Amino acid sequence: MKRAGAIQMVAIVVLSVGALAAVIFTNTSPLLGLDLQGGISVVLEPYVDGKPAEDVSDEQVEQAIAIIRSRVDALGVSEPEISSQGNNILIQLPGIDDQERALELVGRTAQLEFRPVLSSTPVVPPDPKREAELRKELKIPEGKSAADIQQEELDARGLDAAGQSTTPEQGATPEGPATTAASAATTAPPATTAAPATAVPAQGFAGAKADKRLPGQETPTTAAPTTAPPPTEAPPTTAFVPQNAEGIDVTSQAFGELLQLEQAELTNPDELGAKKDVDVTLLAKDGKERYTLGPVLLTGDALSGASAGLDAQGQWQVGPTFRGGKDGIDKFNQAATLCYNGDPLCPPNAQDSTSGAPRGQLAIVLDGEVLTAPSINEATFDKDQISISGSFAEQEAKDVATALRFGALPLELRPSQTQTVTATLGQGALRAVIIAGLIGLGIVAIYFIAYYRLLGIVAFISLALSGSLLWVIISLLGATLTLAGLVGIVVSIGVSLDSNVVFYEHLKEDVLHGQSLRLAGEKSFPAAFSTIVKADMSSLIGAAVLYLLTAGSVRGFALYLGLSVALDLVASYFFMRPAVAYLTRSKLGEKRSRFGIPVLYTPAELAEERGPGVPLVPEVEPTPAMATSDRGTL
Amino acid sequence: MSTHGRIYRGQIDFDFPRINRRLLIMSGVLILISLGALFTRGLNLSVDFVGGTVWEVPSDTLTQDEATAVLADADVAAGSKVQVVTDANNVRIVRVQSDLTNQKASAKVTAELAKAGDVKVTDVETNFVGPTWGKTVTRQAAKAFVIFLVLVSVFITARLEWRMAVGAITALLHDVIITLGMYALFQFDVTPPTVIAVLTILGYSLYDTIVVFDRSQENQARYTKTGHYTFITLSRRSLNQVFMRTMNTTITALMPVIAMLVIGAGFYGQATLSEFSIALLIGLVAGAYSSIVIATTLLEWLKEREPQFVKIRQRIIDRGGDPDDTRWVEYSKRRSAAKLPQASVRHEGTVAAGNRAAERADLYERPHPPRPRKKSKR
Repeated sequence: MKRAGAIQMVAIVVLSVGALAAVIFTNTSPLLGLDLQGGISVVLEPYVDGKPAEDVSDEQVEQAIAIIRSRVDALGVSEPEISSQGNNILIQLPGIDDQERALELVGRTAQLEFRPVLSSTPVVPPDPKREAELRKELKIPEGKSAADIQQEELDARGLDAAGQSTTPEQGATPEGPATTAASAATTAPPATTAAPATAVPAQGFAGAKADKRLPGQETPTTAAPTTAPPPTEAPPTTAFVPQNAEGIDVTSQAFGELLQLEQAELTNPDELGAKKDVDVTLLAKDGKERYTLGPVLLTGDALSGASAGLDAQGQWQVGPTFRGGKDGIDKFNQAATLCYNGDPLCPPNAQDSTSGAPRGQLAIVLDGEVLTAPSINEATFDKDQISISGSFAEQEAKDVATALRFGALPLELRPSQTQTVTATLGQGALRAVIIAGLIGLGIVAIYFIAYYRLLGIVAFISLALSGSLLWVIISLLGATLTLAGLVGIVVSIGVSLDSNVVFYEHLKEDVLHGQSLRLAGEKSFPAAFSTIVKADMSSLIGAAVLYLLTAGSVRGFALYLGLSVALDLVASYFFMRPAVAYLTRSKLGEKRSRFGIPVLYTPAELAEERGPGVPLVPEVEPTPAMATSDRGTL
Repeated sequence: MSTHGRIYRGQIDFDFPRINRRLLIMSGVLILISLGALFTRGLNLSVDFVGGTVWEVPSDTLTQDEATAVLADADVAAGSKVQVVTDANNVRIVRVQSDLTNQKASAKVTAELAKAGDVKVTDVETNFVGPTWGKTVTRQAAKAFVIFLVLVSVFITARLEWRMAVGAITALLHDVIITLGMYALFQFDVTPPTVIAVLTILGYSLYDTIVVFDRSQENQARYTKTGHYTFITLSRRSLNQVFMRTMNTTITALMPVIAMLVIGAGFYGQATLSEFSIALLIGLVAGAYSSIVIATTLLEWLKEREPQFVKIRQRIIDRGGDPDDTRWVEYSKRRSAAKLPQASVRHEGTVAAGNRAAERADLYERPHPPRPRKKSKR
């Protein structure tokens, strides 16, 4: 028994010191959480039809995680953490501080679509201030838009919404019917939506042509009058008398600008899923161009991969690879043929780089933004011999390739929480916790040693052992050490010492009630340990429930609390028990004061103590003979 | 002798049951204040629960007005809050909080704030929380809390008894209500760390309560059969026996927490640490208090209604004893107390010379009377 105790004691010391040394030697350490080293954390929540999804299969979540993981790997983040928490996906990217770019590659739903470019215009950035100013200047009443007034004007002149450009007024108000038609294009009537992809959706196309007449447009067009006069050089307006109720001159430059500002409105990317078969208006990724796009010709499903690389001229280019067969390269080639021929479905917008012939553009749309819109310079392609060249910067090319490669997620995911922590703040927190923890530990150590003397030292060795075991375990688990986790560890100093207090007070009580220290050192433990186990069980239950049910930092906290409680039990049983038994048996055990157990009373104190009603404590130091008899009775 | 000396030597005998019943009034008042504060002022929930965006701009020049103007331009003035704080490294940080839950718009504001503050965009720390995140977190925490209560009740009922489970859970709720009440009263920010801290309190509160109850159970098993002690007497004894332990564990647990509050939060200006430590501080004190006051008083009340203790109480009355005198007197003396007046009992306890063996038997606690053969042995 005594021997077994000594062996256990030595074993646990060797184990924890050895393991700690091994961990330090091999340079294994727990990962620092974002809140400690800086970085980005994103929680993604699945959505279905624009609402948070309740039922999502584990398989879908797993699949999404796999895709996100490969995207993150492409980002080149070291040690990213991607995990599911129920339906949600938690992504932690330590060391990254460009939130937008990371979100774009990771968080986006990334439903990849290929749509023909109907027209493109330089974007007019939405400018609510200027818009309000203009409204005031033109005295446009509340609740009416410039388009409304223009419509009024047209109505008053006996024109319908789709007013044809043959009417004389049209020349005076070039942007008038064009905008109305354009808006008709973006909200195409059902007839268009039902049209098969190969057929010519007449109205949609008309809308596209009309759209091309917008002022400020740079691309030359074929169908519309090529030189619609810009508003600044608008024909003399002397003949113009406003006929709308507000008496506003719809030909004025200010009015034109307001109309443009109103048009800065784009198709809501959230509705894109429902608008597969209709025209949409979207921004380019760099936000500089505004595209009107036709119905989806093919989706990211047709792709099998993509890479970014340098072409012969040393320019960055993107090389997509398509799947073979009907749903892959064939579909792409159908689209390519349309654009190559400048078919009305994919009207020519650009020139062939070599022949200069007009060519259509095929836009690659990722999650509501036009990634790039290459013009198609060949009618058909081999599935792995395609390159998209352009003035790509290296990063752009890589991002496009990544997006193409991992385009479609099985779920629509939206960020429900993102957090960026700068490295400096994180380090500050880390230092603060460590210093606070050390000082707290120091104060507790002084208190313990003052109170329990030798036993206090045992308590601290025991704490050091469970602490080093904790470090070893979390290092080996590769767990992430967060601020919450660190606080959990600091807090668990108190919990761990609790079990020492329970034992020591029990021991003290037994000795004060007449047991010899030597005996109490061995016999007090079982009763105390039973209490410790019961009390620790409640902590363990709590930690387990928290770990299984919660997310994020609460979970990390639960892990550390649970581990430290469990290790405390181990250290108590394998170290504290034999160590105390050894100390009380040794020569040191001859003096109780060394164990923080009060020396018994002097006769004077005894007399004072024996006041009425005060429970008594034996007044004599047990002689060896008495100790023997004690052993018999207890 | 000083009180501390007595506590140190484990020879106190506070009349905890009586003190506790008085303290219950205080608890009642505190709970009323807490509930009142919770219902009238409500909790000051952080962005993490209600959704929104927080920016921290480490800028020396950005003024509150400028930051407010940036927000106004972005049309997010509603529900926004601009604070200027200085962190440990003497870096001035402008903390801007808004209810903006649109990711794109928030990215724009980040850029604007960086421009206004003349810092790099990557130096701006942003924290975006979608509108559903807080709901999810709260729901999970509530679910975890309920399951935890059920499991712990089952565990305590199995290892101890159901009355103790009732007492422990009540004490736990008491602590949680008071902690949350203080948060509502002083309008401290409730953040996810606060939730963690409150959950920690549950652990501490239960730990303390179980240690007290375990001793109570042990004493009950030992002394109930003698038929001389009411449960309240046993309870008073148990509390006195574990009092020093409770004090010591609370002190040891509090020290790191106070260090964290003073050094981490005060000196280093780490807001997260103060969020943790305030809840822990309140909760630890409440936890120690409730395990002694709330949990045991409720247990006493339940136990005194148990037939065996009703019988014991009746027998003490029948013998002319005072069942409400809960001082711990060795039962052999109690037996004589039934025949002798109180005063003489006390003196009998101090008999000096003469029957030394008998005296020793009385002085040492025994679960049962010393057996005669022991005497003869000696």
